[in-house]
Amino acid sequence: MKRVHTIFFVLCCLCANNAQSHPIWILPDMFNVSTEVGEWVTFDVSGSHTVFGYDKSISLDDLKILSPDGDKNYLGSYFKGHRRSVFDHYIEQAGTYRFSVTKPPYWYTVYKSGRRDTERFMWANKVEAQARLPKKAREVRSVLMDMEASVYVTKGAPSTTVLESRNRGFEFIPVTHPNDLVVGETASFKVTLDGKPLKDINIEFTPDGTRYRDDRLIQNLKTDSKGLVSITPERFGPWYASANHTFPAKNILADETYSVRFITFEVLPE
Amino acid sequence: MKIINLLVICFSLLVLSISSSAVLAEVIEISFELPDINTGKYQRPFVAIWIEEKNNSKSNQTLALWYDGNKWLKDLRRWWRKVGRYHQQIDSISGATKPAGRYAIKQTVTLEKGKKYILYIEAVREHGNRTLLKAPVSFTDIPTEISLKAGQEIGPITIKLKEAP
Repeated sequence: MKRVHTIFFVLCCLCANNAQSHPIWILPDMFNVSTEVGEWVTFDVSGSHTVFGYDKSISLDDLKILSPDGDKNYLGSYFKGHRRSVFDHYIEQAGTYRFSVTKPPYWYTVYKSGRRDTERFMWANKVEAQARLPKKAREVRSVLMDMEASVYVTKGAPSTTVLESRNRGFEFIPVTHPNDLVVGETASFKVTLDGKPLKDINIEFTPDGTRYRDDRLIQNLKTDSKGLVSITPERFGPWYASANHTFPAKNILADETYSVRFITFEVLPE
Repeated sequence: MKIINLLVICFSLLVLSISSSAVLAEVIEISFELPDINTGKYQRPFVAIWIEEKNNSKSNQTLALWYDGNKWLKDLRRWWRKVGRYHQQIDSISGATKPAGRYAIKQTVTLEKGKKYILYIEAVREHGNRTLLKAPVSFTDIPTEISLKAGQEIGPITIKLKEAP
């Protein structure tokens, strides 16, 4: 039954031409650290439809931690419950860290078959699908789902090493430093594909606490010709931002890649 | 003689009490719109329509419930708190969630004369908003028609009341 629901859900999303499973988020207990030596920061991670509510825990085996000097840090043990995952990290260096959670990549294939052109779905990449597709399948399309949620934490003064573009794949990067965002001040973000700016990309911004208000307060914005999007937040607290893009895949396992990037950031009072 | 008088008084009181709590059947027709919301993450909303007796919400009747799985039924916040968590027998009035469009629901409701009721309409959407609209319904001056302004998740609503045939 659960599987049927999942498939139905994905199909619904496909109809909207925007395949999307549960958005994933990562939320630290603090975004700014002021101790001289170092500080433990704790993080919650979950995939859910409320901002920031718990629903599905996520494996943190692929968690990427980048310290201000640009080096990889390693995660020790972590807790994976039913509804959330939790880890702690010792913030030792001065400057800005990036924490990125990725969902393991997965693929699905859609195609049309039968006299009535029924749209069909299977959990399979392009190669696996070849072996299973009916002979007269039409409009076959295999999609790679690629999701990443990031958050930035700063000890002392902010630094920018971890904000630099990787010039690879779909990226959603803060332009205004994410640990320097204040109510009433403009914050900018940039969207790129292989380092090149992307225009007209839909960006969603939602302030924390959707569970306890009727209006979700989503702001839907679009990137300009330089790939930039700006928002002037009116509420302080944690915010959740997302950007997504579909583009031709670069390997034989898919026709298209559907990339979604999430950023959690904190807006401070004046 | 005194006893007869007392009996007459008792009898008339009884008649009065019966007539004031007379149960009446009314036909209620609710037409509304589920707005077409253009978002990539669109999921059909959960919708509940029910009547509560004023200041006595334990006396209630659900007229419609559109949902998809019990896990998120609690997100119909008021309906779940007042009705859903006490009455699990909802099969006869429940149905699957519906796409955007215009809908009309026609139901016969049984109500007591002289009591006040409130009609509630609640709609909630995954990745979306929640709307709760309400209207006091009076069963003294029927037929009647009530209009409600649209909320984010549910369009303008018209409520028509008339006596059941």
